[in-house]
Amino acid sequence: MNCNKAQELISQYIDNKLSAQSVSELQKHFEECSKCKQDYIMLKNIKAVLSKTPKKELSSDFTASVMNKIKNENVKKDDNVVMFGSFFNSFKKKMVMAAGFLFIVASSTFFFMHGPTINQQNGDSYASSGMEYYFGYNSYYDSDMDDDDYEEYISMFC
Amino acid sequence: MEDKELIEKIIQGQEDLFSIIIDRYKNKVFSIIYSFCGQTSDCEDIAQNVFIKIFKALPKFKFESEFSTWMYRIVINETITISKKKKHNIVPLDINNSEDEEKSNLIDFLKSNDNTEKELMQKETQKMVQEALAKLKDNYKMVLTLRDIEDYSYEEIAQMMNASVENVKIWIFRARNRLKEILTEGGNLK
Repeated sequence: MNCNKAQELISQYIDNKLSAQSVSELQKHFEECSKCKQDYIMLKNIKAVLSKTPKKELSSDFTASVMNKIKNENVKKDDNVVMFGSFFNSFKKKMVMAAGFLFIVASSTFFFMHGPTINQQNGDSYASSGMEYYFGYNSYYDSDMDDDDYEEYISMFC
Repeated sequence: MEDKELIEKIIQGQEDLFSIIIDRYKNKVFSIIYSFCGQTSDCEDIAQNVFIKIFKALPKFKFESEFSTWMYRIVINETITISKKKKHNIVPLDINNSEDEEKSNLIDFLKSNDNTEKELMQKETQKMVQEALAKLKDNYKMVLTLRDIEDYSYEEIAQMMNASVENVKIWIFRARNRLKEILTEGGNLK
């Protein structure tokens, strides 16, 4: 086992999610690689500290307080609630997205029709402008978000 | 009475029965909020608002999944949303401002293979780990809250966050490594 593979497995090892064979291979790797073993110990300690995070009890009148708010404020059901991971599922959201998409297409068309003039003035190449010129660097191109992060970001909503 | 039967009756107008739903889930919901929001004093208010959101959303529940799965997705979304809105009120947490000796002690502690339970619960260690946790991206912070603090399984977290188990594993792996970087190198890395 090499260090890259070992690093991938450490997190699951801490959670007792590895097969017996993987555990055996990982432990053998730890005997040969002090760096990976050290990383394992540190991650294990961080998890242990987090597991001891102080807890707090709810006040005894919590349920009554919520029910009073619901009654006194005449709370209506069916408010706009966004579900985690389903932002794009509702019809309204799809309409907003469609409008946004049309706006982007229209803006891009306008830009690419007029872009060369702007770029010639700035002395930049045409290829380096485009969407980035109009919108600034979007989240995909942000320096702190790589391809993997972007995939994760998208996967949060799809 | 089962959740689904309760929800049907609440939707039909027996709104007082929602108190049973609150009693059934309030401790777990509050615990997630309290852990994610860094043990701030207004967590109970946030939890109340989250339950009101759930009540409002009940007619949207399609009875296609477990009620608890559907409910926890609202809890997680609302917790992240409210936490983002309140971020400007939270005192900035900065490992870099900790004393050199404290940082050095923390690194020694993390490298040690025989820490006692007392050492794990030490106030200063807890504070520094919580500070580092607060620096993580929301989805990383949430998966670690659910896995390491609240002790939910990969499968439960995947359902709660509407993600695949594989994605959850990757998020946990990256979140832990990022947390280690912040704690050992002061959070100046990507």
